[in-house]
Amino acid sequence: MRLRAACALVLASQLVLLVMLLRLTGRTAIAFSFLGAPLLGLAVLLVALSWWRSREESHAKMDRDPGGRRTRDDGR
Amino acid sequence: MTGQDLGPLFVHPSTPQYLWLVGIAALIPAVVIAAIGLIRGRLPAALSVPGVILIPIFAYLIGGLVLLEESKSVAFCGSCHEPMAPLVASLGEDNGSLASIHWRSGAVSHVDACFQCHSGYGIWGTLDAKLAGFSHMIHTVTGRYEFPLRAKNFDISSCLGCHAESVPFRAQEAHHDPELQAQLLAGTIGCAGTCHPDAHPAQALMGANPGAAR
Repeated sequence: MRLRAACALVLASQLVLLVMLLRLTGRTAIAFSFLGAPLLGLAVLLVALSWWRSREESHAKMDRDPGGRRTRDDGR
Repeated sequence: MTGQDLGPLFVHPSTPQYLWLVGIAALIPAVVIAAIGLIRGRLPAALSVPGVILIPIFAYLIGGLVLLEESKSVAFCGSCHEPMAPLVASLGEDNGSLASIHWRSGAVSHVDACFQCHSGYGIWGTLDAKLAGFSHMIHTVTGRYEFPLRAKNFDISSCLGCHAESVPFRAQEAHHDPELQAQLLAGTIGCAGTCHPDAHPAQALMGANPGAAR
């Protein structure tokens, strides 16, 4: 869900950038600076949060089952 | 009558800018990867960081460079209709303002005249002008600006960059006065509106709708 939201924000920010690149005016420059850039920042924040959460979850999983890897190896 | 109408002799030689194409080239993979992520709800690990972070940020940096370069143009300044369009429109009029005199005599480039006079010399002058431009954007978004428009801390080095070494400027006795020089360099007085005509006509500083001036 977080990745979907991040991708949607990236798409929106790139759309703002595309409009500015094709037609640079005061209005599109303002949209680029005050709309597109925060959207992209939010997307990066979401991806970073997603990465941090998955890292925390994998650490918690390893703490709960420290021998998990060895058990799997034993089963080979 | 534009330069195009008069013939090739009157067309300003321009340097084509291709940086925006680099921005579009960077933007395309970012859009494709983000669209895949949006539709499928997941991305291969090798694509998630470059696709959702690195490439979009790179495209935005290129966009920022395009904005920094292209925002020097007179057309860009004039695109903010309410405050700036009357100023740009008045450049070509024979109204006796310093801006008009410089514009009509060809003393400033018709491509980036605003930037030429409103930025100091060297990298710090450019940086100051960009910071001022950013504050203009904030004023436009918030609507917090007052008519008549006034340039804060106009950098006199913009004038001196061209005039300091000119023979008529050096020959003018008034310019030799040490007190005047000290006041000009301290910014307590400016060239425009003191001994020389106003920089822009008063009417143009009142915005596009002078009757509705804030």
